[in-house]
Amino acid sequence: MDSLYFLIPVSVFLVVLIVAIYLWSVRSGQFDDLEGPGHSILYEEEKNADNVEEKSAGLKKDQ
Amino acid sequence: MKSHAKSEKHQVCFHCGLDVPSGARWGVDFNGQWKPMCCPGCEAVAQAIIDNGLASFYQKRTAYSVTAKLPLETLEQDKQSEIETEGLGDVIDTSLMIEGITCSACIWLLERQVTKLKGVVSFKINYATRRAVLKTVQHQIHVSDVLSAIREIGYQAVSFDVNKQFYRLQKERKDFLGRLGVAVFCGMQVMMITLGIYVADPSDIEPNMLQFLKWVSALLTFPVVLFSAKPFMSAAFRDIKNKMPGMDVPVALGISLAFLASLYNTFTGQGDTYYESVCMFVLFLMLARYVEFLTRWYAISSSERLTQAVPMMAQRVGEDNHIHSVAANTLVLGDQIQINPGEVIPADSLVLSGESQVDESILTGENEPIDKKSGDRLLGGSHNLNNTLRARVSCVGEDSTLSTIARLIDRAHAEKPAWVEVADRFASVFVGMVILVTASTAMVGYWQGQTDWFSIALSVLVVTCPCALSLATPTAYTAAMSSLFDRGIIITKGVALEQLSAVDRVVFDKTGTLTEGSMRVSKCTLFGQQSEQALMDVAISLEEFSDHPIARAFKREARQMNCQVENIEQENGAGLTGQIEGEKYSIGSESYIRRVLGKRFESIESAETQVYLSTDVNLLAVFEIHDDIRVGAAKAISWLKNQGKAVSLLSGDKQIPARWLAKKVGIEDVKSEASPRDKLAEIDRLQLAGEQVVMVGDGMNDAPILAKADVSISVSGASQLARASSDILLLNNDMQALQHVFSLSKKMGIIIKQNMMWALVYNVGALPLAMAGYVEPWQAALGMSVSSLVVVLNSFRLRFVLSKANKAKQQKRVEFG
Repeated sequence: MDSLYFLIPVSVFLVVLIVAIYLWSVRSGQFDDLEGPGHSILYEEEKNADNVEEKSAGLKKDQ
Repeated sequence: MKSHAKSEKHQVCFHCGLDVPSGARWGVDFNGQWKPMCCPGCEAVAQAIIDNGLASFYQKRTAYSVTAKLPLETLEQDKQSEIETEGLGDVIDTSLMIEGITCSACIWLLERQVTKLKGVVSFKINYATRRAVLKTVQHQIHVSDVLSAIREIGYQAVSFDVNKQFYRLQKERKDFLGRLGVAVFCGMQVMMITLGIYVADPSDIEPNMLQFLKWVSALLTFPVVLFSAKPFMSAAFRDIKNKMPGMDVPVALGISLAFLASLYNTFTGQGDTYYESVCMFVLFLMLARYVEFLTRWYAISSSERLTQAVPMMAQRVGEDNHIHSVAANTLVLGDQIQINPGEVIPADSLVLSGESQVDESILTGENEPIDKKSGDRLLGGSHNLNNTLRARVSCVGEDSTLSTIARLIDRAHAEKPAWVEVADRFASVFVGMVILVTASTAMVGYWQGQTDWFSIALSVLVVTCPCALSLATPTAYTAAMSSLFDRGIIITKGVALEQLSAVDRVVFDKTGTLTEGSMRVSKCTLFGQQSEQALMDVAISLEEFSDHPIARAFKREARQMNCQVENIEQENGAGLTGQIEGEKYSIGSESYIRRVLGKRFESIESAETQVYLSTDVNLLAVFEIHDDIRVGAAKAISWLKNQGKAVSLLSGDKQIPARWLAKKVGIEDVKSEASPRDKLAEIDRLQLAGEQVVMVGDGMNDAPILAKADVSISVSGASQLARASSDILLLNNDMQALQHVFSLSKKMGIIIKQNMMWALVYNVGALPLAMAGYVEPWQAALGMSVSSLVVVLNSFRLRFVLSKANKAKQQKRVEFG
């Protein structure tokens, strides 16, 4: 039974962590648009690959 | 740019999917292939997209883009947008509304195009609302630069004032989610620990361990009480300050008493704790409130959808017949605009030239496209489908159909019917009683020396909360109104819905109500020597001066000659007399002409409405006016009869046409040749006989009669909305909408009764049990919360009563291209 003295605080710590993450996600607007991100994931891969060169190329042109 | 001469048949524009005009030479080089374009606008946009290295947009997209417009000049309002921005420090936030998004790839394209601009910190588009938040570094980039970058790739963007109401709701929703989440996670832990204590024998747990578990529960309950339950606490505090205790007072009292007592008992190490009851109580109550909030959210977002329907750009035809792109909100009355196929109509207007089909489903809920030709009304926000139209703006700003609808809906939702206030007052008396009963239970228990007097009192307090009772009706109303709105039915007075189910008789007007009101001259019988066309010219010239619905039939006819009319004398609703080239002519109903001629003549039997034309001595011609019966009228009437409602027709028209129409649609009780005063008297007579009367009219010519009836419904259609005055407006041309209103009102009545019954049975039944000590506090918490959740969910069902047609509509919207 003594293990409970350790395990319960651990569970409390985990709950605090979960609540903190959850509140952060709500406040940063993760739940605002439940539709768009589902689509955008399909384009994500390519975006990372050429993002860097894209960005610098784009910047030069627009200036 | 290369120019390839290539003219295959049935080529579609690579960018927007429209047919490429034969001989057109626009196009771009895409991955080494020549792609044809329909116009220089699309060409410029596609070229810009490819030049910016975003060509893969064309592989990603699942729908064609919107046709791009040239010239892409900077708009006036770009400069204004600077003022509307607000920000802290160096980073400025701007809200943008974006038009032209057809699929998710557009969002990808836009976000890439904008985020690569220097000075843009972030650019996030919400796919569901088509709104974006732009964060820019001050002094590095102007919002107008971003807007022109967006325009370069073929979209329209405009900065807008964040709608206060929408913003507030969004914030409220986040708030709810946060509080609910905390209650769920912490409550789960507390329940887990408590379950262990319940299941185990008291001897199984060492006192030290028990004390430890209780302290942990206390720790976990803290955020639930302080954070999750905060709305109840602050509402209760406000109520007490206003000396008007509502249902939040016993809730807050229950939560805080239970928590404080548990804390005290934990501290002293003896007596019961109620941590799990507190958590569960808060969690379920929050859940009930959240579901109630969602019904409100849906209701408001559907009217929000309306305000987004009007496009930002319009094509104004200038004096030199050139077309300029202008911001839609700069249009003024009388402007000439051009609406290309596929575009949204920017303002209420009258068609000048062109014929096309228009989809008005966003306003009327009607899925069938409607034919429009010269002289017809167009509604701002509806969708032009096939051909180019030229139109004259007839209504802008506050008076436009869209704003009127939005205003009416807001009013209906904001309106607090008298009975709600009565219910509120009733609730505060009820709350007073609850607290009194609780206090006396506690005192009696304490004097009798019961050990668990506190927990009994707590149970009584929680179990008798009148939450379910006060949620019973408002939730049902919100759900019913928003469900009807999706079908193009607007409730301007909430109470009307409830009254409707108790109605005994439905009285219809004839012209413009059971009939379409779009009249035409179907037959002409001549009595003199003059030709039909000559008499028609005279009739048209005379009717120019009348605003009677029948006059419209003449105004539509073609005329050869314009006659100068002098000395007009009108008799309202009967006819008019005027002088043309020295000769006196009269036009009007049979009885009017009889009076003019001062002699009898043989009347002609006809099923149609008749108009007589005469000089002051001779009858010249009789015109027959044909009017189509409104779609679904017969079905709606037979359905009403099946529901046991009496149906009558009250018409100002002559007996034969009135009877003929009544027979066609299946009405037996007909009153014809009734003047407006007769109609009022008839409604009065029916009401004195103890009947509840619904009057269905066109909402314009019969306003006083509509006001007299218990419930008024107008079928004016969306175009005449601003002038219509009634409790319920059917925007849809189809009469069967009546059926929806009646069946939903009946359903709503049933649901309100169920809610009330349930709330009362629960409250009355649980009280004695709780006082006798049979109900543990956690059971009371569960029972109370579940009872309000049941009420809210039961009301929510109203949204799905009419859901079938909506699905079809949504599918149509998603359609490719």
